[in-house]
Amino acid sequence: MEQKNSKGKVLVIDDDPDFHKVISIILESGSYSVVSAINPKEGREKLLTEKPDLVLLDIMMDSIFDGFSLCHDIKTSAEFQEFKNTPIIFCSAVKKQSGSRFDFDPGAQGLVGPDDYIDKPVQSEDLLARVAKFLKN
Amino acid sequence: MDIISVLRRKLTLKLIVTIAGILFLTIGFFSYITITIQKKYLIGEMEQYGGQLSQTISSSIKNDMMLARSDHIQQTLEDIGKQEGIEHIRLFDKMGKIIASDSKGDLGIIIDSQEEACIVCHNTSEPLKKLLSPVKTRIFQSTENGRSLGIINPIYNESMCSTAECHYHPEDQNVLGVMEILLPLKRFDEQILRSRSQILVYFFITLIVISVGITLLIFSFVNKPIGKLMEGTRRISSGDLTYRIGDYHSDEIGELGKSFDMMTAELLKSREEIEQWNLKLKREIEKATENTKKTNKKLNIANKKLRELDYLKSDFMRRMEHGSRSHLAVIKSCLSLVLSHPDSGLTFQHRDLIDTAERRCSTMLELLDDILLLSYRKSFDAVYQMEPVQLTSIVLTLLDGIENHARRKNISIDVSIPNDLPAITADKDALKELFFNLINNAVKYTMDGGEVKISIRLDGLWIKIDVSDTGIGISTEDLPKIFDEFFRSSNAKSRNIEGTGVGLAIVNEVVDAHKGKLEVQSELGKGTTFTVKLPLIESLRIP
Repeated sequence: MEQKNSKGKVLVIDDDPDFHKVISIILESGSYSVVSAINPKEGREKLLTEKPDLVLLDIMMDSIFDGFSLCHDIKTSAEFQEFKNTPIIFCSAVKKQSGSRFDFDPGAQGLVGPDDYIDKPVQSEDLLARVAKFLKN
Repeated sequence: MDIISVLRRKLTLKLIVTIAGILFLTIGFFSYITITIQKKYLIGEMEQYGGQLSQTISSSIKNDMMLARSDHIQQTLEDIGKQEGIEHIRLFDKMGKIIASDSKGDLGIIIDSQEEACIVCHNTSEPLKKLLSPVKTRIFQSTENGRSLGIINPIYNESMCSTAECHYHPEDQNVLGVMEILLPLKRFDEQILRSRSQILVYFFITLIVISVGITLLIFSFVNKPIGKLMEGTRRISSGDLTYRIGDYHSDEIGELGKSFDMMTAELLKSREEIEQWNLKLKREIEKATENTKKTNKKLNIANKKLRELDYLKSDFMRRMEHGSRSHLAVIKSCLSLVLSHPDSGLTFQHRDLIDTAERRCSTMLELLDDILLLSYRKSFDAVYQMEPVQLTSIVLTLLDGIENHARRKNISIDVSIPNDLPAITADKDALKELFFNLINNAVKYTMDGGEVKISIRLDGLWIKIDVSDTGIGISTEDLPKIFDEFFRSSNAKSRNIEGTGVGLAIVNEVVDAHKGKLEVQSELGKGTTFTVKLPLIESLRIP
């Protein structure tokens, strides 16, 4: 899926295949190449093999805080040393300001958090603007 | 030396001083009486002796006087005067001239009748003719040998004296002269002095004996038992209740000791009882503590279970939210993508249908958000983080999100906020929910080209916020129900304006939580004004 004049490579880690379909259309419309991973395990592998410029990460996958721990690992573990500064955007169907008051502060759980949040459903312009903010060059 | 022992000593001292005083008074009194009686008796004896001596001498010289043999008389007086115990014997004539004396040197001396020795009888113009007693006595201080007893014996005129041929005395003369005998009282005085000294010595010996006796008695009957009592007191105060006085005397102090021992025994009994009670109480407390611990443990278990349940509830909510939103998100994205494609080849009708589907999908998402929010705001674990909040910045931030919508409908939003608006104590997130719903509703229910006004101002200790629109308005029948959950006015539904019926319920909940006031005024077809009053300071809130 890599494009010749790609503005950057985005790894999307989400357990919803339909979401991958939608997000790919949006990102590709913005001239980004997209790599998909359907679960955290695959996400870890693809991170090392594909070396993306940005990670779009779902929070609730196999378990509630999958996204949190994966984010923390990428930011801190020696295994992902080279991706320590790779921007991570949480993209979740649980809104940051939500009535379920899902504790969206990874810091409260002693974890290193992401660089940005974005609520599902994503608005095309909103998503592209946020990604562009991190991948300016 | 402690105070009690000093007092004890003082007690003994006091007793001795008192007894000495009493002894002194009684012995002194009796001694005085004894000595006085003795003195009187002895003086009486001396006087009698002196009187007899005087009579004897005057009898022995009577004949010589008759015969006027003055040399004989002189010789007789000299002889008698040599005897021990006689100081002087002198014979005076009527004129006070010494006519005979035991010492020859005195002869011829005239003693004035006003002299101390004579004045007793010669104090009147006419001297006494006859004495009541045969002799007159006096005691006086003679110069060399201390006191003396003087005995005056008048020599009366007798028939022979006036009738004798020699040198007869006139017949009318009653007293011819006096004989005076002086007896020294030196030995007598010494005797009295000796008696006094002896009595004084006896007094002191008695006093010492009695004092020693009393001291010993007090020591053995008072001090010793009191010492024991004091030792007992000390031991008891230091907690030793086994001490007993024992060995009681059969007096008051003995009784006191007995009482003391009884008291100590009672104290011991009481203490043992208290100790038993304490032990019992301690056991009860231990038992109660044990029970409390058990209860606490049970409570902890229950608490843990509750926390687990709470977690399960939150987990359920999260999963429900996630599940619903995930699907809706993908549907909405797909529809949006189709609609946003410039050459999708859709007919107008198909595009309208997809647009409707996308719109309803958005409403569905809003409903989901509102329901979750309302359920949180109404739940017991709703947390209001009260802190100073700048209302101006909240409203302006919210407007950023709403203005796009308003612009599309050509609605002007007029905001009037004073520059010096003070901060209020409130929950920031809750206020965002409150004002988002009010302003969003105002825009939503106002027709294209309408007007929305937001005015914030200070009203005493309150901040008053008006959100008014020129919208469709609410009918009088609907007005009381608009804050009910899921209620939607017939007016809004008939105009096909999307809504969840939850927004105003959230507004009401948040205003309540801030102890504020919420009012609404509306006229069908003309517009609606919502007025929110929030207290500036939390503590000033209406209870």
